[in-house]
Parts: sequence; structure tokens; C-alpha cells
Amino acid sequence: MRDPRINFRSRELAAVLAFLIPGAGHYYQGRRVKAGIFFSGIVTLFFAGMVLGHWQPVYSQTAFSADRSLVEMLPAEKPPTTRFSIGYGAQVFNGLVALPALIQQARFSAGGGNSKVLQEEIDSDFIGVLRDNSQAVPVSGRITVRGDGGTLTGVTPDGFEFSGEFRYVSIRLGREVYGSPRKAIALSQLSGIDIEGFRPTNLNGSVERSFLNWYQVPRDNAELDRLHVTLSHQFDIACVFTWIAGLLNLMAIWDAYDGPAYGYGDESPDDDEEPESGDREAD
Amino acid sequence: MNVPSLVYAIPLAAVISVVYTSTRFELTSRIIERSAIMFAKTVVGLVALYALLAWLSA
Repeated sequence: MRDPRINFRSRELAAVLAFLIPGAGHYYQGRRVKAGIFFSGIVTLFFAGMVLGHWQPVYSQTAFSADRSLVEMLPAEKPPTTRFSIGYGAQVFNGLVALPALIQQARFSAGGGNSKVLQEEIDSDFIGVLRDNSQAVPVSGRITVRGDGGTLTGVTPDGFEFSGEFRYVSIRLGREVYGSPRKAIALSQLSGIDIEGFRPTNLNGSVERSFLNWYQVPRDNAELDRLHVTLSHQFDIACVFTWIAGLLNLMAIWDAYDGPAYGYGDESPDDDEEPESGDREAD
Repeated sequence: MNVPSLVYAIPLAAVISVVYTSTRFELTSRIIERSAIMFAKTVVGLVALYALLAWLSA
């Protein structure tokens, strides 16, 4: 039975507010202390998880390709299959902070495949590999791509620094909307780069993807593997934080709708215990 | 900085204790009292479990 000392106002509205922003439903009901507890506890836990997981623990779907190739590089005519992320079933109860995943899911589904045309100039840091027919050299640095050419400034693992202009014949870019801060890039029939006699003909690697195109977007297992390689168990802990934050808000939503489960809290200890069978009969 | 994974259990247990207890009671003093007890029990349980696992794997 609901305690008459609590003014629930519109319980349905309070529950909706509590879902959207943890603690907002209680604030609406005038239960300010609990609003503060729920907001600070749940939102802090959620964002702690996001920071620990490099802002990537929340995604509503995992994507798969039929031929086990990278989802990011699939052509538009071969859309990936997707599967609901069970963890998102808990994360979604964090409310507004987790809802962008549903918008990003729709953008991902409508986003088409990889691109073989350079839509706009690329000016980004670069991590990747330069290849010719017999050799592959990892490089990191900065790349600019425009038209049918560009510039690459980088360093090899043995410390050799190079810089120069290049031209290419064909380009392949990863899909625009995808759950990774890095966007795949592949240039073929490359010419113009010379690293101590090594003249690569292909460039494969990644450049920056804009925040709005990767935040809370579905990703494939290759990206999840990359996250685990980078963050190890820290990514799992980050996911657990965001899951538990959502589940805690589920209880907070119910508290806004129906009040505290055990009562107001000022009942005598005897009130908490089950009545004896004789008492129940007397009732 | 390499933080031991178990350290993350402490703030997690604290938040779970406070939020869970807040959904059980309305009175602030009761929430504080019960959540402190729940947090202490959780930490003691985790330490005991960790000690048991450390002993078994020694």
C-alpha cells in the first residue's frame, strides 16, 4: 500500500520523467533527496562507464556479414545482418543518455555501404600499412587526401620519418556511419611515396571518423575485438557500469510510480516482520 | 595507470547500496543507515571471496 505521506502527483508522468532523466520523476514529486541520490548515483555510474570504455560501451545492435568480412567495408548491395545487443536491454533504462543508440541504429541501417568515391577532403591522423608486391611497412602520421592525390607525413616503427605527395587511382572508404572512431581507408595503385627505396603501391589503414558518425552506433565483432585489445578488462567493467546504472534506474522508475518497496522507513522493527498466523486470523 | 579491477567494485558497491536502499525506504536517515550496512556487508563479502580465491589459487 502506498504511503499517504508521499505526494505522487501524476504517477505515470513521474515514471516517464524518471525514465528520461534519473531522479527527474522524484524531483517532480517533490522528493528532492531521492532525486539527488538517483541522479548523482545513476548518471555518475553511467558516465563513469562511458569514460572507462572510451565512450563506446553503448550500442543497440551487433552487425554481422554473411561472408565474415569486415562489416565496415561491405558494399551497399550486401547489407549486414544485425542482432540486438542484450546489454542494451539494460542500458536503455538510463533514459535520454542511452536513447541516441536507437537513432544511430536507424542511421546505420540506412547508411549504405562502403564508398569508392571521395566525397570530401580528408585531413586526419593516419595509422596503417604501406605495401608493395613483396613488403609491408607499418606507418603512423598524418594524411591529406583530395582529388586523385594527397600528402602523407609519417614515421615507420624503426623511426624513419618521411613526408611527400602521392597520387592514387582508386580509393575505398569504410561506411560513413559505423561504431568505431576510426574509418577504414584503402588506396590502390599508389605512386609518389619513397621510403629509402621502398615505393609502396597500396595504402591500407584508418583515419578519424566524426563523433556523430560513431557514437552509440552498431558495430561488428572486429570492432569489439579491437576494443578488448585496446582496453582489455576495462571495457568489460565499463559495460557492467552502464548495465547496472540502467537496472538501478529501472528500480528508481518503479519507486517514482509506486513508492518505496518496504515502506516509509519510520516503522518500528516489528512492523517489518510477517504477522503471526494468529494475528492474520485476528485481522 | 593500471588500476586493479577489484578497485572498481568499491564505487560500484557504494552506488548500488545507496540507490537500491533508496528504492526500499523514503526516510533519509533510514536510507543512510541501511545503505551503509549494505555497503559494509558487500565489501566484507567481496574481501572474503577474494581471500578465498587467493587462498585456493596459491
